[in-house]
Amino acid sequence: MRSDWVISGSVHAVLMTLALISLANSKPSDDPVNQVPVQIVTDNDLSRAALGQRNAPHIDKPKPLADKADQLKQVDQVAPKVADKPAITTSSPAPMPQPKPQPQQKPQPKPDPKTAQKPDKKKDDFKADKIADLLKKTDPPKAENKPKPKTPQYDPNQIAQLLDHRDPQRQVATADAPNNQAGLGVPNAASNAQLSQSEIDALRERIRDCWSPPPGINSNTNIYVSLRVLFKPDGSLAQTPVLVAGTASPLGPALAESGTRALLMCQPFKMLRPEHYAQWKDITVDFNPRDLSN
Amino acid sequence: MTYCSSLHVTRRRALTLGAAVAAMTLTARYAAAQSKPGIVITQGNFQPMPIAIPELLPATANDADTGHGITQIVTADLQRSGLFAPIDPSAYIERITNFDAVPNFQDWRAINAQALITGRASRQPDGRLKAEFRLWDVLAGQQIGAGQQYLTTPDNWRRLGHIISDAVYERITGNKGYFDTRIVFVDETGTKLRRIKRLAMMDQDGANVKYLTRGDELVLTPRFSPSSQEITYMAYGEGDPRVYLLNITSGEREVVGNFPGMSFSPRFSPDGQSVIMSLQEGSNSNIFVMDLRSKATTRLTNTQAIDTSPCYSPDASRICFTSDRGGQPQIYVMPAAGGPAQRISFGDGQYSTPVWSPTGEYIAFTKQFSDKFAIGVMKPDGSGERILTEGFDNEGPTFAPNGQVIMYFSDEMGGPGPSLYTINISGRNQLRVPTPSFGSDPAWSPLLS
Repeated sequence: MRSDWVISGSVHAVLMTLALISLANSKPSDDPVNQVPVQIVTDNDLSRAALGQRNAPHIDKPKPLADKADQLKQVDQVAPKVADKPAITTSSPAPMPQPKPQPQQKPQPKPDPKTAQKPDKKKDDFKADKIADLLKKTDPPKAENKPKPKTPQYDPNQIAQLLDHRDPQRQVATADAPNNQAGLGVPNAASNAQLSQSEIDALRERIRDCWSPPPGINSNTNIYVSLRVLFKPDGSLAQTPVLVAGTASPLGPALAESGTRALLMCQPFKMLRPEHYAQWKDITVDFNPRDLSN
Repeated sequence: MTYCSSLHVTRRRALTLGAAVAAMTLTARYAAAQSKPGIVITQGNFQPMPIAIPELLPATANDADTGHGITQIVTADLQRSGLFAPIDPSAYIERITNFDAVPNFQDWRAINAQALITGRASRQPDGRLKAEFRLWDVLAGQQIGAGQQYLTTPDNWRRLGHIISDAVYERITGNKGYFDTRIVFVDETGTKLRRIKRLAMMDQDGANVKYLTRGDELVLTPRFSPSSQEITYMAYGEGDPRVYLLNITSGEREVVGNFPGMSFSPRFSPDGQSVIMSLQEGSNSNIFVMDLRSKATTRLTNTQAIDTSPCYSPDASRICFTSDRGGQPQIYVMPAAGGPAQRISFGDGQYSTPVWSPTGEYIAFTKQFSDKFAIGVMKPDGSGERILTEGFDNEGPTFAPNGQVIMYFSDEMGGPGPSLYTINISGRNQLRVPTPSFGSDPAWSPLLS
């Protein structure tokens, strides 16, 4: 009995010793599991990130985009067309009394008169020349040479802008120096954000609720009409929707009119967010009864 | 927005990866939206259209009653269609005083009107009645189509109302209207045991009832010809049932023939030149076509079964009929010139009285199952069967000429007698049609104009 214990114990001890030696000598795996850092990216992050430049250098404190060198000026609303904006001119005598908070503009309490004179080589040749002329005529004092307020006049450089009926993609910003360098995910990138799926779904849902299809048109009716819809920034229609395409059918006019009624009746479409206006200001809405029950 | 360096790298990588994956999804999802922003609406939410129908302006004080009457007809027609919701005139803000002036759309939008009818009634020097109307799209603020005017004899003013209703209906829905039509039906009076059945005709709204037979015969299943001037019907006087051809304007009646064992009247072919019927042969019954001029018959089926209630497709290329060749009555479709028949009804129960819609889109039928009678529609290939209404006894569907409405007769269990009803093929808007007494076996005429 005792010898049994001894034999069993010694055999176990030998086996464990061998096992320890062999495992200790075995090489560590050459193939460790790679650890992939994963970070959750939300929709919001993505839309901001996608709008910067992927290859932009990393800047700890990114400067806001600035098109012009000038005193800081607040642009009071997003909505007006570029051509309507007086903000382009540098001749504004004073900043707006109550600047609205703008994320991309660092408010400066006192504009530096020197920096305000920096010519904008890229865009504002006309004004740069004007300033140069003024500098020639007068001694080069350190004093501020403000361009005099002038009446609007023909400016060939502004033709493109005057013809540009698009609404601004973002506000025209001024800063102490022009900065065209887009940051990586700077806050103002959100102004280019995509029209979200939830907005599209909400718009579709709303139009569907409003659309009373003409009777006699159903999923068997192989017909569609395509309406071009122009919106105002407040989500109301800028004009009566226009038929741009459709199936040749006696039922076509009734279908197009029913769609037009739905759009006219249910405006404004408040689910469309103003910051995405550029994406939804001009869309086509197809009315296709393929899923109507009867 | 500051990060430590390692976090920044991690974040950028993650963003790049995430952006790449998400961009693929977004690219696919928004491909259309980016190149041509657009959405597709494939479903809707049917609502009757709110419509304002101010009284037709009378040219003189003598025309006021006529203008009022026509307005009432138009309002009732559009309301009964189930597709329009006439607005209570007491809600109107603007009073239309000039037929030739553009309405103040803001006032009509304020009461949620989507369409507006303005009109004028006047007498011509020759005594005829003239009615004019304009249809306005209130939301878009413009006239829909051109204004219309109609002339008729003063006693025909109801038809003017129906014709205006048809024009409005067609302009808004894209389908032809059905208001300027008539119904021929079997008028039933007396007790159940001593029922007197007379052939009667009326406008589709129940007005202008005329009796076409005296009531000394049992009349059944009248059918309109495509010209809407003739009807066929079956009458049991003495002996075998006879099939008659009746001209409703002249009142002339002609016997088509004696047909023993016949249970339904013949139906006209779409060109009106021939009728199709089933004739009994011993214990069986088969389908025949008879040329109305030569009275020559042509056999279409030859089965050891009961083939009955045949009906043409609107293009006359096919016929549908009921046959019990499969064991119980079901609906079959076959070429109009003869050939193999294809069964199209496969649901539980027995199918009978098939009738092809004037648009060719559906076949309506009576279906008997579990002690109920239902009226339903299916496509000519048998798919898409839908029951529109069911009850103790629903029978004899007949289509309005635009194929959008079905009329049938229904008898409540233990009720005193049958009544006529209409229902839209969507299954909505079931309405009783007013008749002087009980009514059965309706047949809807083509459009009169």
